[in-house]
Amino acid sequence: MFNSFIIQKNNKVIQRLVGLVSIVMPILLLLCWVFIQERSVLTWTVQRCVVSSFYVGGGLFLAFILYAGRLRFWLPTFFLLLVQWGVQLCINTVMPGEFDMFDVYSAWLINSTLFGIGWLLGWSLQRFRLGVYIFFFIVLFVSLHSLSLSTGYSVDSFLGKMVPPVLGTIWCVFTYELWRTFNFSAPRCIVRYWGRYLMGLLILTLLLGVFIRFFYRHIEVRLVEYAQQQKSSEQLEKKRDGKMANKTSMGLGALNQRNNNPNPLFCAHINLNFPDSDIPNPLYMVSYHFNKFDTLTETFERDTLFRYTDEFVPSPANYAFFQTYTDSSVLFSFEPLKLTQEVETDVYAIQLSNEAFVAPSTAFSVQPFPVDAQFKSEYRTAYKARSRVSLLNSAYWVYNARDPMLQAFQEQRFAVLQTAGDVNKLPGQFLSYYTQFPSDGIYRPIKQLADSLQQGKQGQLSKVLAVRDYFLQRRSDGTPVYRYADNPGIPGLPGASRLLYFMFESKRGYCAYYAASTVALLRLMGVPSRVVTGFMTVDRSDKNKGWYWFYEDQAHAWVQVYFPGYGWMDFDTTVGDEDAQESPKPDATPPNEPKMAWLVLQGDLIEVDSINNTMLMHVENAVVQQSSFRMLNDTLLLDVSKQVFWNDSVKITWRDFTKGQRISAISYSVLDVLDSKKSDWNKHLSVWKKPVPIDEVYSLPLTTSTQSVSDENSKQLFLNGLRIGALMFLVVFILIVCMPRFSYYYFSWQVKRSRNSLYPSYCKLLYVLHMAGYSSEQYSILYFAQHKVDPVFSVSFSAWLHIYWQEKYGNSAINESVLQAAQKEADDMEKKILNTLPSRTRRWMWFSLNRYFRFWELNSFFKH
Amino acid sequence: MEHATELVTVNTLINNIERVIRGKRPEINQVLTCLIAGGHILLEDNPGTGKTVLAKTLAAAISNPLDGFKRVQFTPDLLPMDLLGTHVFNEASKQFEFRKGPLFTHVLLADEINRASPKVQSALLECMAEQQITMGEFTYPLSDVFFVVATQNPIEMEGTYPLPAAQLDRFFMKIHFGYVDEATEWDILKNYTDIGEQSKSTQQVISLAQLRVWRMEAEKVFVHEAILKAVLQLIRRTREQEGIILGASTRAGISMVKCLKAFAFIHARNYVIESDLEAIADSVLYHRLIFKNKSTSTQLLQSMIHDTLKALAKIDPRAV
Repeated sequence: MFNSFIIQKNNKVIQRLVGLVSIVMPILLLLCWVFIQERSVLTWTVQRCVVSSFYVGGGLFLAFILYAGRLRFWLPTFFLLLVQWGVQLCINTVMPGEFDMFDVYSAWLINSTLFGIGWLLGWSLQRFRLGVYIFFFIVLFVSLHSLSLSTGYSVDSFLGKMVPPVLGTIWCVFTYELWRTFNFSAPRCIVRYWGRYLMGLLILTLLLGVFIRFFYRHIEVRLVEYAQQQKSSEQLEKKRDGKMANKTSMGLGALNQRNNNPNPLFCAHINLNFPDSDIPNPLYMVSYHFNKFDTLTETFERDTLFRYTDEFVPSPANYAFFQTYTDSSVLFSFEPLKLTQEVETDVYAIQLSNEAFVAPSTAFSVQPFPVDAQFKSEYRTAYKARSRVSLLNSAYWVYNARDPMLQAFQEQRFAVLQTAGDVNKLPGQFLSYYTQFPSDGIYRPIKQLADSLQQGKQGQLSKVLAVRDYFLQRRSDGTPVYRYADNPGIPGLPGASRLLYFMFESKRGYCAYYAASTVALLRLMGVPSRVVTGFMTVDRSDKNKGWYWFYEDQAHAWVQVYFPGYGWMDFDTTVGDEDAQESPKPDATPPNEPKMAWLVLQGDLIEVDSINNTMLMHVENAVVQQSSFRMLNDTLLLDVSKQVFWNDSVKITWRDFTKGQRISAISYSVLDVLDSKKSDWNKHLSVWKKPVPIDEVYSLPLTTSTQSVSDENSKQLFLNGLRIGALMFLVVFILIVCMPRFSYYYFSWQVKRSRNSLYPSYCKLLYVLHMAGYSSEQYSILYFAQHKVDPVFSVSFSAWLHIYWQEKYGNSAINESVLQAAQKEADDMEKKILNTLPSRTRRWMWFSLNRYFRFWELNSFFKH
Repeated sequence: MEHATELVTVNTLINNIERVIRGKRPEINQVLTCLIAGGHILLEDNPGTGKTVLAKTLAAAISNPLDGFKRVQFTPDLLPMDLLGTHVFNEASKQFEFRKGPLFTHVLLADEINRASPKVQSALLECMAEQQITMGEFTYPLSDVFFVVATQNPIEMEGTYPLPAAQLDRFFMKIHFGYVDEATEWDILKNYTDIGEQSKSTQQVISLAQLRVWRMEAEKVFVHEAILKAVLQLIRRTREQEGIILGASTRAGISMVKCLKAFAFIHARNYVIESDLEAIADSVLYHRLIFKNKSTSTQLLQSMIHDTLKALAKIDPRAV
């Protein structure tokens, strides 16, 4: 007796130890991995992650060991809370005003919270069968989250992120179940346990290896598809049409995922040469202006409400071909600007969203036009932008490089800009708006740096150059102080300023960091400046003069500085990326200059006559030569005998046109000789021959937002299918888990339904008893009732059975009142049984699928 | 319940017997079941477990002890004549006269039946079945409540002639008496004199007429179709079951139904329930079957009965 007791005790200890090693250790590793994965969100260093997981592990270990006995949850937890509160109180009272009290206090809070999480986890592992499953759901969720944050879509990184949680999950669940069900009292159980453990690991790893080996290609293909949808970086985001555009705010991220997408986003022709030469002058392409700085999130934001804003962001997709949208209000100036010129830029979008508008600043006009038929497969949409550009502006002026040629060129410009007027003469509202930046609080160091940089500097230009030189400074050994890094990291303290971390600690960052800190310094020196985003222009070849190609990694952020008398000047302080091995990207063939349309009509299609080759159209807008007529209400018959039909860049046929469709009709031939500047629409109309000959008809989507691209659809379909599949799986899972409970309701319903029989009550009682772990499987019913139920629950099930049997086997109908009393007694008995059960059994009995299926295996109630 | 008065006397009878034979209620019930069902019973157990006392007490309780109870100790040299009686020449009437043997009684205790030669055994068993004795051209009817309580020591003991299966079939039940539990045995050891007193002072509780009424009443007990089917299936299964050489006969089925009715009657019911089947099926069937493997025989039969009971329990009464 005593001997066997010791053996049992030993088994318990062994079981716990084995559980600690085989379950808790992998969980700990997985936890550590989760922390490291999420460190960009938690703003923790790797070392901090490891330490944190040790704290969680401590709680886990302790709770796992402690709750292996029959200890109640609340007592130790209450004790722990008491200790936590006490220590907190001590820290507060013993060291008020100490130098690093705050650090100690916050460290204590964080670590005790982590310990508490581990504690809960350990408890749930010991007490609940579902504990480990819930934990791994969380882990899986976290890894999916970190996957969704990352934008690198290589298979290896995907597998690297997904394999540990999946493997860990399956593995730990396997181990957990093994550990729970393993018979630790058998001889040589330890050896057998570890054998099975290692065998499981081996098989799992092999399976996964085989899976990866065979599905690697498949995953890769899927990922590339997915990546093309989701591609975005710190600078770029995906628009509704699935194409790229600049983001509408600029934050300071931990990682600038550069996409080396070999396809260009767009190409542009900037019709600007250097004065008195045929050397093309590249200009940076601007998307957005960021005037405001949000100190809380350290994000630069747009502000379209400011009076003096000169941002021009139309959506080219909103305008009909050759319809010009001009907003000359952006061309305001306080004084006549010197050395400016109007520049035309043709932008041909490839991967660029057709809602995005980029042009050299300051743009004021946009006119979409159809791409020449020969190039339609390559370029999706095109528009012509008009900008008023300062002749001093040039990409060469902003390249922050040490090339002597460039520097000499820049010197010339500086000489001109030295003569710029005094900023203080600008309107006060303008000046204060573009120079606002917090100078106190945590940003005091920036103010101090700005003050030291502008010491002895007179004039705006010298201040600007001081900032440029500050970022270009080198140490005595010739290494640069500030380096370029796409992965600048984040400060170790959560919530610390990333801007300050970049400027004073890491000194590594990408363009957003340089632009942000430059604006901060300049504004604190009183220089009106702003951050702009767009695309850096690189002149790669002189084969196609004036043509520039823009790739995704050319998305850029830089600074514009206002020089009185000359306007906004581009200014780029981002240091060169010394590590970059940028392969020269090929320039493609530029598209032909499109034929200038003579007439563009836009409106709804009323009728199509394919026999006479005519279309009846309700015209709303029209452009004749360069003058546009809007809000028209005419019906025109079009002669479309020689035309081509287009939908976006795809040729279509008669059949694709339906009544009421929005179309755009273009004629390249001259229809009259009237001076379009002076004549009105009706005058034109009266001289054209009818039907009006038309060359091209474009079918337009009803609204730009409902655009759908067919290949997008299939991907969406795949994703939707996946979603629906996951949802169905979830529903089925929940249904299966809830089945015992549903069956209980079914039994209750049966009882309620048949008031003239005790049989449903009998089945229900047996069901409840079975689910509570009291199975009549190996006994006869009477024996079961007399020896297993009646003494345990102090009910009289056996006596009740005799009433039931009287109904079942008796030759006379049982008395109605007796029947009802028996039914009531069955209900009472069930209640008593449920109330007598230990709370843990009561809580979990309806989730025991094992017992549930066993029940139906044994019994086939209600089936004749 | 219509036979309420009978019930009271059944209980009185059982209580009466239990005063002498302690801690043996289920066995007493089974013996009474056989009595009321009109069958005979075979008690098999080691010596000294109270078999004889039970038979004696039962006899005393239902009849006048002087002519109601006979006891025959079976030995190898016992002749059928000793049992049945014999024709003796009467000098006075110059005629052969029949001298009745111990068989002419109400309750016969055939002690250690397996010690007698097969000749004697078969003579007895024939009488049990026929309820009459045929000697030459004369036929003598036995008492209509003729009830044999046979005892036998386990077959393994030396000097025994095992009863053939065909003859065992004539007993409705074979029960194991078994030893009583510790507390009861302690009680018996302390009060053995009292028990002796009581066995002597056992009074006749019921009359034979009463017993005949009981038999009639028991015959009226209702057996549900489901139970009948269960009995049928159980018997048929014994014939098809692997591991059983000889299955139960149809006579076994009849005995079973009779016993079920009697058992229900004893338990104050006018209908048979599944727990009745559970209580008697093993005793009714076990001695009639021949198993291939003796050591697993009990288990095999138990599991068959268990399955039958489970199937019976599942039946929806509304569907039948």
